Amino acid sequence: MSRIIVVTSGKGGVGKTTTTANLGMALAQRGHKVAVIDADFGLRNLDLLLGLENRIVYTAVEVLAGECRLDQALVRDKRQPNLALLPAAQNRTKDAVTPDQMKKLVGALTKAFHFVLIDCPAGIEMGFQNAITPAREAIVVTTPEVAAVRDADRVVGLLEANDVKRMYLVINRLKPAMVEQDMMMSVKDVQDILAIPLLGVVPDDERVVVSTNRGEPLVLGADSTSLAATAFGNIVRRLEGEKVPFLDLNPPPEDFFSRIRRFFQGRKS
Amino acid sequence: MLTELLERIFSRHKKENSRASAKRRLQIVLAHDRTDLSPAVVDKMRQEILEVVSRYVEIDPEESEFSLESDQRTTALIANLPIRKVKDSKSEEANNAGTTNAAAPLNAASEEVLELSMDSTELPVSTELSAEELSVATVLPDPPQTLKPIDRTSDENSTTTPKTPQPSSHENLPPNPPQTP
Ligand SMILES: Nc1ncnc2c1ncn2[C@@H]1O[C@H](COP(=O)(O)OP(=O)(O)OP(=O)(O)O)[C@@H](O)[C@H]1O
Ligand SMILES: [Mg+2]
Repeated sequence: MSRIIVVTSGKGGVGKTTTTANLGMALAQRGHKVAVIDADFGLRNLDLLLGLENRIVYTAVEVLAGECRLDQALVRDKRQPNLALLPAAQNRTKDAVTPDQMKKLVGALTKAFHFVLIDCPAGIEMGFQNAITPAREAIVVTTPEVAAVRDADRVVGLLEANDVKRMYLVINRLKPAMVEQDMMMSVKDVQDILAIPLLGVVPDDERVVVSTNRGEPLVLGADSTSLAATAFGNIVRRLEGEKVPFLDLNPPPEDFFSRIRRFFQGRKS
Repeated sequence: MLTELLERIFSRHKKENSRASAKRRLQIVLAHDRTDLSPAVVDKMRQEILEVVSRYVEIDPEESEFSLESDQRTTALIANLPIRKVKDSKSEEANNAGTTNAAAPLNAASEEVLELSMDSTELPVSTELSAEELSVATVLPDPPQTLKPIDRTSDENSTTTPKTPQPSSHENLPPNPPQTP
């Protein structure tokens, strides 16, 4: 049976689209047939992060209107033939589709794909409802910041209420050096609070930005050995059921002088 | 006196790091988010619980703590009510008659604290649609209650049960928060 996974967060800008693009690509690299759906109608970005923006002819809206077939709207990735994107309409709002229509689209996709990943828009309104209704599992993305964690908690509650019972946590943009200095919540802090199973921890990494500049997901490009790329790869293996130890993101030990300096400056808070 | 002063200097005034603040503040705000209890309702509960407890013991309203806390998606209502005096039956009658000074003072060295905690494992998740239907009764279904006197001194040794965080670790609602209309 195909797995239908929504990538969601509540708060905007925490890394849903980045996560969807990288997990989609990494799953495809491991031999699964993967469809990624952009459910962010009106503010689509998944096409850009995947570098497929110039190949979009039709979108989900035309499929639903009967103006084209589903396979005509799917953009297949030439670099990785196991991966296909179902784009969102850019000139429509989030009310352009209904949860039932999304369910139908996803249902049709499960006939040809092992994994369907849905990139959820920020917020908890109609677009969110559209994205979570077809899903059987959810990846809740958050950063170790109070507002993001609070919103993630709200989303966990809404997912439970909508019968999406299998939820996993991805903590994105962790800065180990800040955690070390008690200036940022740790993985354990966030996990204690949200209390859903941890699927992965992705460090804050400027190469994420570089990869989006190019439209090449990290796991695909020259930076595929970076820590963030490895983190996404590990998430995929955990999704497959493998037990993969969590990365050691601790920074190299401070040298003597910076320790002394910090001692005299006092710990910032 | 001296110990109080030392405690102030060494613990109370130590500034909490921002990581700990973040976690502590989130735990409190999420307890409220998850139960969807308004501050007004929480305050009403506080007043009513104080009223009941005050029939039997004299509580120090200044030192009382009353808060909602969340741990592992379980929300607990925690009341920490330091007892000033135990009212004997005679004083209770006297109290009913309108006088209050017949109560016997407790041994000051072992001042007792009445800790009341209510855990609810299965809090219904509030959706936007059901929000207005929620009442205290539906939010805290059949909570197991524990009433246990604990010694003030044990607080410092963190021997409280894991489900009941130490008083110092949680933010207290002010004894008399402004009543929301
Ligand atoms: N691990 C990371 N390290 C550094 N930058 C990151 C990381 N993850 C995401 N970013 C950056 O954060 C920004 C937001 O990421 P992204 O678009 O994936 O978030 P989103 O949750 O999909 O946002 P929206 O809610 O608007 O859809 C982007 O600029 C991205 O490059
Ligand atoms: Mg996005």
